[in-house]
Amino acid sequence: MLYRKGINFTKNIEKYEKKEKIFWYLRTTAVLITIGILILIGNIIYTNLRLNIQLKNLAEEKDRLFKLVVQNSARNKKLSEIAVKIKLMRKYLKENDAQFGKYYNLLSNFIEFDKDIPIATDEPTATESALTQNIRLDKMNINIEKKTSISFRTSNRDTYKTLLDLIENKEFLELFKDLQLSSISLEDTEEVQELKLNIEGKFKPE
Amino acid sequence: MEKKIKKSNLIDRYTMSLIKENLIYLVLLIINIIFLLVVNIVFKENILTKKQQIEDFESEIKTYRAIKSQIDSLDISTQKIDEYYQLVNLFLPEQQNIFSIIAALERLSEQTGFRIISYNIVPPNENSEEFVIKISGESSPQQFLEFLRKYTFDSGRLITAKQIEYLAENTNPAIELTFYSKKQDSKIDPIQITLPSQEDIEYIENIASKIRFVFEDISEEDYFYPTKDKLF
Repeated sequence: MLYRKGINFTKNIEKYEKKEKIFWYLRTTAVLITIGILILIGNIIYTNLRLNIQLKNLAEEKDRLFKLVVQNSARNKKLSEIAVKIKLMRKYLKENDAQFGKYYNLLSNFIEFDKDIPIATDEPTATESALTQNIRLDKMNINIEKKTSISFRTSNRDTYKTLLDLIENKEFLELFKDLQLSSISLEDTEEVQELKLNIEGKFKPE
Repeated sequence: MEKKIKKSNLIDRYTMSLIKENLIYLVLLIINIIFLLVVNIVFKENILTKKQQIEDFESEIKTYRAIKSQIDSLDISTQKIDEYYQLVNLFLPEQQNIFSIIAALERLSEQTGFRIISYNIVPPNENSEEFVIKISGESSPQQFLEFLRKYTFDSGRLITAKQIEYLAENTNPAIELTFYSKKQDSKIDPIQITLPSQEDIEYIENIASKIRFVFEDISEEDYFYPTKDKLF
């Protein structure tokens, strides 16, 4: 290298060595990168093959399961519609219905009392014991968007306390999420004896 | 100046000589760089796409397996499915029909003795699945209570009551009733399928057992007879 024709190497030897070194690095880098790329190509081919096999297997598995699901598609469609409609029915009943069932017995007992139907029970509940007295359900207004209002009336002086006991009874109060006494009026003369109670509140949700 | 140029030419000649000697490596290096760029753009994209496809497949397979396992665990006979299907379609028919609503109210009236003396229909929006009707009726208190006990399912339609007004003195109670409908999805994607849970089955079975005797009297034709868009 040092004796190339027409080149004075001795004067510029350091510069030439430096250039030689740069080209040595270049050769080494080129070779190393080529080896690296060959490894990379091998890796890519291997990964591709592996992924292709995996994709093929998964596609077969998906087709198999799809056929199993679709072969019963008419049955599944019916089941799906049943599920959707049941969910809707439950939603509507929960959100849009006064759900009267829970307090049906309360109203029922008062109405039955109005009809003089005897109540056969060993241990009367608060509402039932109220029925043995002269207490009437005067008015009931249930509205799921507003408060429910109920009016009671008794025309017998002896049952004033029974009516008040009914309103304060735990069993009765437990029917409500919140409850307030909105009005109370008493007329107690020789001719007229009447206690009216008006309560407002919201029944506990189901 | 001449000396400088001469010196520079000398260096260039040497560099040129080195370049010529290492030309193959230089070309190789350039090819390598181009190849790396191509690999980065094409193969990386290709591999990423395949990995994404695999993830999608795995997710779909998981869904199918879940559906299959749910179907396998649902122990319902075809006869029961048909019965529940018919039942939910009676409760929530595909379209609202005023005549079927009046028929349902009449049925309820017959069953309970609560005689509907007036009703007021609130016209629904075109695509509304709710139909509100305010009714008032004459009855004994017991008949009214029987009506309240039965209105939800016993007419063969799902009915909810938002408002109930009862006055002891004046026995004309008023109730605001809502009827519902639900359009069927024309195409159900097998992946998007919703299957009833065990709780749902128990729920509908419970309703079916309570009103089966009513249900037997109602044929689908009563509800789905052909209707006209125009009166004349």
